[in-house]
Amino acid sequence: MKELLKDLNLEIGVKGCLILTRDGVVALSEIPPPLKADVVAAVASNAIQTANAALKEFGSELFSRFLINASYGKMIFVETGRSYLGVVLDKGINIDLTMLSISSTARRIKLMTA
Amino acid sequence: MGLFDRKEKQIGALEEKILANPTPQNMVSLVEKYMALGEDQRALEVARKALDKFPDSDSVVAAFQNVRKLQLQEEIVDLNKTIRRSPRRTDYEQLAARYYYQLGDRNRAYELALEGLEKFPESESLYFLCGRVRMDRFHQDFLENDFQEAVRHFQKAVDLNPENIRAVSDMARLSAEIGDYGQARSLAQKALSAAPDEVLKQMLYAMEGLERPNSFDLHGVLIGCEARRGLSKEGMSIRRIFEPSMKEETGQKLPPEKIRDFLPKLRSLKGYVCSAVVGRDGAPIATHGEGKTDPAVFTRLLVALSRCAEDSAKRMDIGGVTQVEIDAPGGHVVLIACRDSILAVRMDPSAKNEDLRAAGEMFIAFMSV
Repeated sequence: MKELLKDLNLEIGVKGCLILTRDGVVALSEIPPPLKADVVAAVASNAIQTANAALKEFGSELFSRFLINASYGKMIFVETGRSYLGVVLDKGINIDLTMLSISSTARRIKLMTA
Repeated sequence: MGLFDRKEKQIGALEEKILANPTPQNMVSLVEKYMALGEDQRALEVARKALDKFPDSDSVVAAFQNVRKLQLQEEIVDLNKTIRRSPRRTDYEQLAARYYYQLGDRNRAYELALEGLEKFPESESLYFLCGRVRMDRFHQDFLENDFQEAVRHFQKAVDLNPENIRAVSDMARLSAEIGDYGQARSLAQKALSAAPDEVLKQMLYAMEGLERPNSFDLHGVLIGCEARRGLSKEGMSIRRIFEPSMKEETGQKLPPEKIRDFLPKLRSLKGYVCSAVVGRDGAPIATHGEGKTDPAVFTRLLVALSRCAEDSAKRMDIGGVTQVEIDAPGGHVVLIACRDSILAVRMDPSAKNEDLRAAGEMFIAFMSV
């Protein structure tokens, strides 16, 4: 799985990625500099827990995709069966194109962990 | 009339129609049509108009940058090749400057500057550029970290070269904008002792009689800017001295009735279920829906998700949140932040990505009027 994450990091616009459990515990991480791995892990974990708690209160099930678009970057979390794939992205990338690689990696992780 | 004459006439008519009723989508589409025709200059003019009208639209910003990249392509490709092969300090400085000053691509300029500083940490020019980018970011999202980083980079530039008057002037400006008048005066006088600067003189004149309060707390002031999503009234006056063409903020928010009238228009979107708008502080403004969704519960979801996203973006140092998309088995929710409001739209599973994006474009177009 580490190789899958390393390959995903080679895609245009991908700055780092990690795998977290459904309740936000980091299982595996490939976060190269200049990103700080511990900061990304903490942010990702909190984002997943908070978003899912809000959805639960709303009466919804857990999310399958959660995208945060900000002025200078993006973060996306994609469901991979029993876990989430979190990816930090450049601001300027075409999200629909990059999603093809992210979805493909998510599918492969899902198969590996099934 | 030849084929191209007809095409030009058609596009001219289309341009008139679009400019009479502009939206981010149709203006970007017009830019792309001109680019396809090879009319780069015309594409650039329309892109500039679009950027002026819809500065908050990601698609408009991207379209403008694409047109400029096309014009500067050869030069940028050459500089990029040199950097990959055997970079010199000046290559990084030139390329970062191209991206910043000519393409308006702050992100890429900043990345290049940081990459260059890893290899050439003695480059005051790259530190200055980093300071400029972070200052621009502060003036966009008013986040504390951007202010602190701007000052840190400018200070590094001055440490490397005390004659870097531009860095000193920009620090004077930032200090004045947040009310640290003593510091602003000291820096402005240092800059003016090296070279005349009418704008700095105007700033000093505007600050006459203003004193930094004894209880001044930088962190507190910057948190205030974050909460306000802007400078204080005095800070805005200072900023306008440096940016006279900046649009006047009326200080008046869009009346809730106008927002309530806008929301039903979202029914035209495929899969639309309901929507809600809150202020940046989370105060409810309006809701609309025809389904079974409780508006108060949906508003609470909006506030929780936007706070989660803002907190994440701040800690990741990627600026203010512009849009959030969340998919769950029951459907999609998209949040769009624009000016002082956040819109949330709930859509059923039949909605596609382009429908979510269309909701964003409609809101941005509405808020930009």
